[in-house]
Amino acid sequence: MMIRDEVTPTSGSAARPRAEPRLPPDFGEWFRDHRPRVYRYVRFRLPTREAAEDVTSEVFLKALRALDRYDPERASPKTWLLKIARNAVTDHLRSLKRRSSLHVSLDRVPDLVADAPSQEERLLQQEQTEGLLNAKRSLKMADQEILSLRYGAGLSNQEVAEFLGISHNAAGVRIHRALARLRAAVDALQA
Amino acid sequence: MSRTHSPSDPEFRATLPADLQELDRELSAIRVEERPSFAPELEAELARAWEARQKASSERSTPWVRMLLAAGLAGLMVTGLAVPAARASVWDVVRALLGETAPAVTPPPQETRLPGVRVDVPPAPPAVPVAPAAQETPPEPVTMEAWEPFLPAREVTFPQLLHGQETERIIQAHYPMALQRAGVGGAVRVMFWLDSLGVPDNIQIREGSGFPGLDHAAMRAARDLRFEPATRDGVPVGTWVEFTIRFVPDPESLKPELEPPDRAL
Repeated sequence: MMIRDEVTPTSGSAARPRAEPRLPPDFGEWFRDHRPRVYRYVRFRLPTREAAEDVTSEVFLKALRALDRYDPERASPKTWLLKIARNAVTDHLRSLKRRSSLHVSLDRVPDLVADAPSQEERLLQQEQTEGLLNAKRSLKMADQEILSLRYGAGLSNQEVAEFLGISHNAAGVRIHRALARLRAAVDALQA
Repeated sequence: MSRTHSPSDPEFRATLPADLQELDRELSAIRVEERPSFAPELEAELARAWEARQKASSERSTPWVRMLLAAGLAGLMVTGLAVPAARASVWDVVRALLGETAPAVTPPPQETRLPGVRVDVPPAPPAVPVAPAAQETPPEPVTMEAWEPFLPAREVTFPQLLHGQETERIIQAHYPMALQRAGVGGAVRVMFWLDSLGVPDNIQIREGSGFPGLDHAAMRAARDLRFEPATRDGVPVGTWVEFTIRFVPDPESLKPELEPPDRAL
């Protein structure tokens, strides 16, 4: 986006374009590399696209403000951003609970989709996906957290283990159990 | 429109029972579609926030640094002028700038040799009045008169030892007998602050004798000495004093403490 200076140019010369604001180089790279992952994690944990956008924006603003305090020896940029995202989601859910409300867009556009060969199948899978995520929201926060890290942020079991500070085996067991509880919750909703 | 999805993990899936494998597959297949303009809008917002932050940071820091420097400079000037020597130097510079020769100041004696036992006790240096400012170059009358109330004192006297003969006794009293008998002597250069009442304070060893016993004795002796304080324009003032105390063993004290048995008989 190029913003042109509104001041009248002197002596007929062309208006000088104002320098476009730029992100710090490292941060710009992190934004491009990790934004989809962060957004997807947040979206898995929140019920609407709008809420996910708000919280994702907040995550990166917070990260930008805290850029001076980032310690590469303590966490990779991906882990650091996801930890900020986890806290931002928790704060958001807490504020929703205080207000006893949910942001629901009136003209919702489906943003959680599955690859399907036909439109009918796609709609069917759309319903299934929503049912799945609705069921997920009935789980305990710890289960929601670990499933969002695994299937939302797309972390491997090893990365989930490192993020949560647990062993690789423990991460596998917890994901397994969370999946089992999700299966039960989906069955209960369908019954 | 950005489409992101979670990579599947076949190895992990193989460890799951069939129904959970299906669930794992479904969850891994979920795609999240971002609103197409979301990423560029957010990136622009972040860039603006960063720029505003940088600008605010530089605006905040500049006056703060200036204030800090100004406060430091003012503090330095005030504390510097509180030191008489520094103040006198400032006035010397002022005089030089105004074309008047600085007053000839006779330096204090570097060494007042206070004797130990059986050593001459030179009298303390007499008061040395500071010569008035030389009048070789006539000052600018108006300017110097204007400065006159602020100029340093012209009449200065240096400290003088009181009870001259008593000094020897005081020093001898502190000369450790054991060292005297062992024939150990030496010179200790001490420095202390002589307050306006003529009482030594903050006594320090500038050059030791090599014998801790003598150094401590010199410090104790210096503490007991009394002086006529220095004055400026007749007003007693504190000043630093530095001199050497010499301990010289008395040949008499080198005699054996006990008479030999055959002499005692």
